[in-house]
Amino acid sequence: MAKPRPLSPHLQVYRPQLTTVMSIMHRATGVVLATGTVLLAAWLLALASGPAVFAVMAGLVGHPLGQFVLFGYSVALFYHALNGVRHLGWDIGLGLTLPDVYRNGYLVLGATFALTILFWLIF
Amino acid sequence: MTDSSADTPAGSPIDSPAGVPHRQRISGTSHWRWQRYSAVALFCAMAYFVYLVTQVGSLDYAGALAFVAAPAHAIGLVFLVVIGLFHATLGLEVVIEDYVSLKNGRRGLIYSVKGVMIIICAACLWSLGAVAL
Repeated sequence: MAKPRPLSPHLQVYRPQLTTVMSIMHRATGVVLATGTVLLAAWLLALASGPAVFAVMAGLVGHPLGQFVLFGYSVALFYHALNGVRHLGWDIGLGLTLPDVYRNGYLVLGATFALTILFWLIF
Repeated sequence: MTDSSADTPAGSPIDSPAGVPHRQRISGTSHWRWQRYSAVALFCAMAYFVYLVTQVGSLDYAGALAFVAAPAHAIGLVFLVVIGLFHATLGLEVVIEDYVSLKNGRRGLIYSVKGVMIIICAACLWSLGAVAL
């Protein structure tokens, strides 16, 4: 190779837009959710291991830091699930015009906010 | 997954454009499809999971044990874990393919992720089995 081939335009030259930010957020939340499955596994293992281990787990979950992690996980879960529906819509050709993309984008953000609040009020 | 030297015989003309040997494994179509199928299934499982957390959150050890051991919830959790980890693996694979440009590192990383996911899945299923059976 004589000289390196040109890269695609650098991310920093673009002004962040709702569409691009929500796109990368979908990925980021997906990775967070995938990583968080470790927590579900840990909780189930604790449940299977008996009351002593479960008490330690309950302590971690109840700790402010644990609650903060759970809160982050719930936001990621609602966002990824709702934005996933948006993606499935696009896959069958729904809501693809620019006004639509912005409308359903704001809708997903609003619904994520509402569901998160609702969930933590119940939980 | 995307590069294998094992060429399969040419399929239909549509499958193999002129001069390009058809390689079944080079296509990402089935990956894409399964990502969507599992997404639909996982959306239902997600709704169930949220319901589950609201119920289990306030329970003590005995209560949580009885709740998860109920056949309907144990089966629901098996469904959630398997579909969820499957979807997560497909997603992480795409992320790695997009951002890790070193071919060997990329493949190694994808296999590692798959291995970890299988371990997490085994841990969940073993726990559920121990609790519910």
